[in-house]
Amino acid sequence: MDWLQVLLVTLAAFLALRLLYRRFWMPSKSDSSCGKNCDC
Amino acid sequence: MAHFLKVALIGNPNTGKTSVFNALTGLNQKVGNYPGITVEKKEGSCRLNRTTKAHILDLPGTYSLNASSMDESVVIELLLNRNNKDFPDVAVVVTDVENLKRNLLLFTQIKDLEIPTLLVVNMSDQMKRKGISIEVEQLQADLGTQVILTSMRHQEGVAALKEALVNYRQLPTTPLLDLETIDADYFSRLQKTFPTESLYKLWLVITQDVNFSSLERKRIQAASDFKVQSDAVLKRLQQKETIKRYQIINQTLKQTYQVNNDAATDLRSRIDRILIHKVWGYVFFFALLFLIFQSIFDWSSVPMDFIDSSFAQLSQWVNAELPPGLFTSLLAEGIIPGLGGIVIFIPQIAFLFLFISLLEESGYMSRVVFLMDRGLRRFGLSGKSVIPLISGTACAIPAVMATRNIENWKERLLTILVTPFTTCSARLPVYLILISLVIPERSILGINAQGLTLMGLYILGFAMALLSSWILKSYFKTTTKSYFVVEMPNYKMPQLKNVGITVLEKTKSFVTEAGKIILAFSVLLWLMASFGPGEPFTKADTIVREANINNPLTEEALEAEIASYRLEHSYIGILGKAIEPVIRPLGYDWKIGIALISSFAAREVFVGSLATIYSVGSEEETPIKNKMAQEKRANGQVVFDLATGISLMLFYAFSMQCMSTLAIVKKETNSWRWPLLQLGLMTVIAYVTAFAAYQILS
Amino acid sequence: MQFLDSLEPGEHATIVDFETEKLPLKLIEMGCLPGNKVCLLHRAPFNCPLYLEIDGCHMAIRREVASLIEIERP
Repeated sequence: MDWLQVLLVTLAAFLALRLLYRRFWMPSKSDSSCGKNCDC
Repeated sequence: MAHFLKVALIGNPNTGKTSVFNALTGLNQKVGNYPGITVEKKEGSCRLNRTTKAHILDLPGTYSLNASSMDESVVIELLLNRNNKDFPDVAVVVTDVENLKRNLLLFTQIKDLEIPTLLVVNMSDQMKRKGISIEVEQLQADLGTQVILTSMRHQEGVAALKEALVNYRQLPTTPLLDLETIDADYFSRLQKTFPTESLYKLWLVITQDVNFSSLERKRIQAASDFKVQSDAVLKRLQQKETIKRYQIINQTLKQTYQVNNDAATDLRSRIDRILIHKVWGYVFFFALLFLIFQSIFDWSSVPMDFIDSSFAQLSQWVNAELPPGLFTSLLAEGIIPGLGGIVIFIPQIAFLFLFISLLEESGYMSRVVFLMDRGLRRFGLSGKSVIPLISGTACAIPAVMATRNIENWKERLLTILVTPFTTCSARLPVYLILISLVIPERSILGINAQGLTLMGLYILGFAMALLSSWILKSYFKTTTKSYFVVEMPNYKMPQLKNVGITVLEKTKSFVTEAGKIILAFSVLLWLMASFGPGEPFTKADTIVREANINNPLTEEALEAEIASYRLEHSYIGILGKAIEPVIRPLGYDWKIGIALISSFAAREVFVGSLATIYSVGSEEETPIKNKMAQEKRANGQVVFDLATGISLMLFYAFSMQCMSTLAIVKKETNSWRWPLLQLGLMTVIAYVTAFAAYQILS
Repeated sequence: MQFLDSLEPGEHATIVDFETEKLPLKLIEMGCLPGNKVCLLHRAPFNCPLYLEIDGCHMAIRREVASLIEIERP
């Protein structure tokens, strides 16, 4: 049973890291498109 | 097989477009984002008849196809791109019977794109009271569409709308306005250059600064015998176009739309006389704010206590019932306390969204904008900054996005920069736990002292937002004139269904978004707290036992001693120790340091981290608050005394601990300069005030 | 010439013209067109912004913008 617990913990750690990577470090598309009427 | 019809709902703000969407889709809806951008995308499905189902897209509210914000650009981008997977088979323009004239402007524009278009005249239940009569047949003929009168409050017209959608192929698609009547020379040249394209579509591609598939724009600009005219000339033509459109609309309405002004009751002016009164208007607004915060605090305490103890019990149950091992500990000490840390503030978030959506639905929010504009301009902000500042009390991310309807760039930028000072709900769990630890539960002048402290923190957040905006404003030079147009909608009784769906959707998306991050951090934290380098960690047991060999301790006390020693030498403990010198002047120990580090990415992780840190290796499952109250310093004093508590609250009030907000600010300002400025400035302010508070109070 | 910012609360007038270059398109789209009737309903403290009814449509604008719109009193 021990190996199963270790496996599950490794899986949880992997999922956690992947989620944080996706949320914060994924390159985000630049999309600031301003209308003509906005003076930026 | 059911056929899927693609329907787009389009309309001005305040026309009840969302009610129509809710009536059609019910709870079969989901809220997401348009790819790559943060504009909210609402879509849903509904069954029109036995064989046809519809996919319904609720486009952002817009006054016209001349986009002045990113939300409005989304509408144009979609309607001009036939290859978009969401490109509608049929467009439904939702209008409000009272403002039909202005609403029809958008209708004529959509119609000119040669998309089959239905006209929904909503709030028809108001017609009698307002003395309005409409010749539907004539209106249909003049506008080349089918008109459906609806009243979402009484669920009228939904069946007729569904039927009309099924028969959308019968709708004529001829344009209403001949652009050549505006400037024959210019538009005939344009048409000759691109004989196969719709003229109005070409015109939009020229005038609108939105992300079209690059091909379209390049093709037009590359055309050798066609010159894009200067901005001033284009603007002149746009004005002429609008005037022409209103001529068509006026002509149509003259014969089909009658208002008997005597019948119109003056409910609006009677309510306005109080709500925007020079004195009573402000008194009412601030009293309302006070009531909102007081009730959020009072009403949520019961479900929150229940959630808190439920999660403690769950941990205990997991520990007792599952086979012991690494993963069981992760569940009981990492994941469950972490989840509890987010679930616990669902009640408060829901109440806050409830109040915000009531204010918006009733039409009162525009009055607040009107009242606050002059005052806020003194600080470099706009009346429209009120909405971001109030939404900021839920979460800074939607608040930063809500700045999009501020027309003036300087005012918008300042609003973006200072919005994160407002007390977002992620700070709430931090405040709540600290307040309950360090502020006594008694009443001052009949007001709960804890509630009063919480309100003080909210006021402090707003005050700091204003102060920093006032300081920052002189660093921005602006040459453009500030323009500001805000519609003052009629007062409406909020519809329960709309409010309910908003609260549900917003709370759900907040909890899933923030919840994922918190969960991920609690897993990592637990790992870092459960492993450590070298002997002090692995042999903690023997080391502590040997050190206490002459010290008669109970087995329980010895266990606690070992757990604490182990945590101190785990990876996270080493990290916390490393920053201790920096934070000691603020009154924090290394355990709080760990929570600070982990909550850098998201504040709400703070309570979860403390829960995880204090749970690691501990057998008994008491609520986190009790564990914190029991924490002692080396000299025997409690850790969470008044000085440390206040210092921590101030630190959380001012520091920029939210990666998601920084990411959004970067997106909205299209530069790293502003988020970095925000981060630097807020961290300095947080450190200095927390330092001062601790030094004075201790 | 008289401009919109000179109206007193409760007073009615007709829009005659506006400064094409400076007036935002959005205002024209909301119905601020020559020939339309305008009424000042309320003024916020310190006379800004102005709460107007233009051709049946209710909106608030700032003084500077109102001063770009020429009106004629009945």
